[in-house]
Amino acid sequence: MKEIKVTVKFKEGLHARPAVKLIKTASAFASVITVQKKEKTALASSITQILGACIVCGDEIAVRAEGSDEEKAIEALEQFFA
Amino acid sequence: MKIFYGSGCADGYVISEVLKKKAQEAGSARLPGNSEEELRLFEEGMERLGERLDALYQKTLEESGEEAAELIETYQVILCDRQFFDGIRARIHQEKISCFAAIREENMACEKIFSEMEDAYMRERIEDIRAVCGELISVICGGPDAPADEKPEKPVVIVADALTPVDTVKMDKRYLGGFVTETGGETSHAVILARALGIPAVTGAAGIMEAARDGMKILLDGMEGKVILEPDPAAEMEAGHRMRKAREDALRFAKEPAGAVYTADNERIRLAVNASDDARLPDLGGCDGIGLFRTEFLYMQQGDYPSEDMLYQAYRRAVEEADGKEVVFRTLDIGGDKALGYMGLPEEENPFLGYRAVRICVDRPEMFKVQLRAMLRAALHGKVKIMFPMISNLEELLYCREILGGCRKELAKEGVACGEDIPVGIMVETPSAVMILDQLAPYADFFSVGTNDLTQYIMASDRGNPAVQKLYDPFYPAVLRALYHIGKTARKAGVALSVCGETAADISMIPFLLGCGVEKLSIAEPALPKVRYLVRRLHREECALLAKEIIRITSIRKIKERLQEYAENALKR
Repeated sequence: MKEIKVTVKFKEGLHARPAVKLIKTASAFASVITVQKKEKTALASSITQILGACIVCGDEIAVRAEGSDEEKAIEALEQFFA
Repeated sequence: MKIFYGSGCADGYVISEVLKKKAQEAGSARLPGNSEEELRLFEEGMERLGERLDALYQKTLEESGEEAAELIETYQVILCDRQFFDGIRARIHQEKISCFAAIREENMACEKIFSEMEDAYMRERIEDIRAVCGELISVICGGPDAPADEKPEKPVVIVADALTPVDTVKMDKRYLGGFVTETGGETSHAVILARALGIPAVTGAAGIMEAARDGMKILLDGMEGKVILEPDPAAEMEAGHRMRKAREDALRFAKEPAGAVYTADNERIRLAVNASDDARLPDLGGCDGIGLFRTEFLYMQQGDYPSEDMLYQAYRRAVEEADGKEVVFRTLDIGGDKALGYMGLPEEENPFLGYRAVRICVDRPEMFKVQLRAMLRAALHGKVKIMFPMISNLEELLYCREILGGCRKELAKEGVACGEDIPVGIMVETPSAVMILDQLAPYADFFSVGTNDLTQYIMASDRGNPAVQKLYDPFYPAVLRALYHIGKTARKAGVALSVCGETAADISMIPFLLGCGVEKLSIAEPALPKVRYLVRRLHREECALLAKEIIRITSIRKIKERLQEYAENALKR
């Protein structure tokens, strides 16, 4: 399992468009990808879970990938949140 | 002839025929078959909806551009949400219910989670999930030609309870003249699309669904938010004239550069836009902030009082988006004409003369405090002013200020940061406030004239009542004299004066308003180019002379002729 900590810089948080883009980015990988804010964990494949995690601009979140291509996935996600 | 008022969201006029959007739920209330059959229906529906959304995405991209198409993309992503739809599958299996019931229940469970979120923007996203579920049901119900898919063959205005973006993009744009919705707030997507298409839209036109019938003639004014069913020939002729003129003018006004607005004799006039807590903020790039921020929607949206945090998040978002520009919050302006079950307000015979706005708030300080605290906290993040509506005596104003001061002390005691030096003003909309304006002045940092209500109260004419429609006219000498008096009093007392209401965007009225000493106009965003163009061509000194002349004229016809002529000449400069 790979994990990184990132700060969300999208003005609108992980809502509408950034959320959609995250899902698209994550869907390119076989690994199971999750984002976690405090005790709430959301699957990066589920828009309802991502929205439900209420991640807003400035939040620090943990991004995890687990699977055969976890390294590449984390790399892509690091770029996504950069 | 029947007249309805809502909020004008997308500019333009149209005369056309009504096409009512039918309810979607028909046919879905049947008994469940066995689980396999229900699952099969569900999976088929998912597949068909997927195909439909793909096609819709392409169509929207071609017709309305990328921004509109992104909304459909959001739906596609929701449709790919395995976790959510597995929940529906599980319900079909375990609860032995129909696929429709399963979709609705999973949707409701999800809505419940979302409705508890503090961020207003997030709560709005329920709309998207609800829309996808609604589409899914309609796809399963009716196949590719579901009855909900209206296919007009001639120009129409769609009248609906609420419109989802899917509704709006599905329609054949060639024949789409405009939208009217009964409920406000749920339409932010539809409004964006209407603007992208350049067609008028009015939301929150209460009563329209009951009165409208397919094929009825309808007149839509997207600027003023006015809807007329079966207009009489005079109304139709006037609208036709306005339509032609608006088309010509729009071309010219659009070329006027944005930026600070000064009159020709170099007096700064501030132009602000109206906004509300029910939709995205209008673009504030070309104006001086939000001159009227309505706060009713969050109170009407759900079955209970909104929490302080929910309000704070919404207000803070507005303040932050204004990015240093001023936001004028109007405190709750609600009354017996709007159904708020949980407030336990009695039904009234005369809601406009009844229990409303601050009249309720001063009776329920605990409720009022929640909103004021949210505003004070939001003020920390930018430039905020607070404005009390429907003030009709000094005690009300003093009491409102006292409650506000109390909130400030409480927050300080709790160690919660809030904005300092927040100007507090009142709406001037009752004749009683006009009469005692000099007594109110020492306790108000600004006056904002709400000309819609002021007109209806001065003329004692309900603006929703077609029988007295002729009397509801701000060009009557009585209303103009009230405005003149307000201007004089405000100047003497040194209180800043602004106008919000339809007259603030009325070309014929603006020279008179400037002549009365108005220094700020708060208008609907689509009216900005027009108002900006005119104000830059006016002389404040000359307008003052014009105002003096106007209040001596006795006939409304002559007043209108004179003001119209004046404005038109100014526009030629």
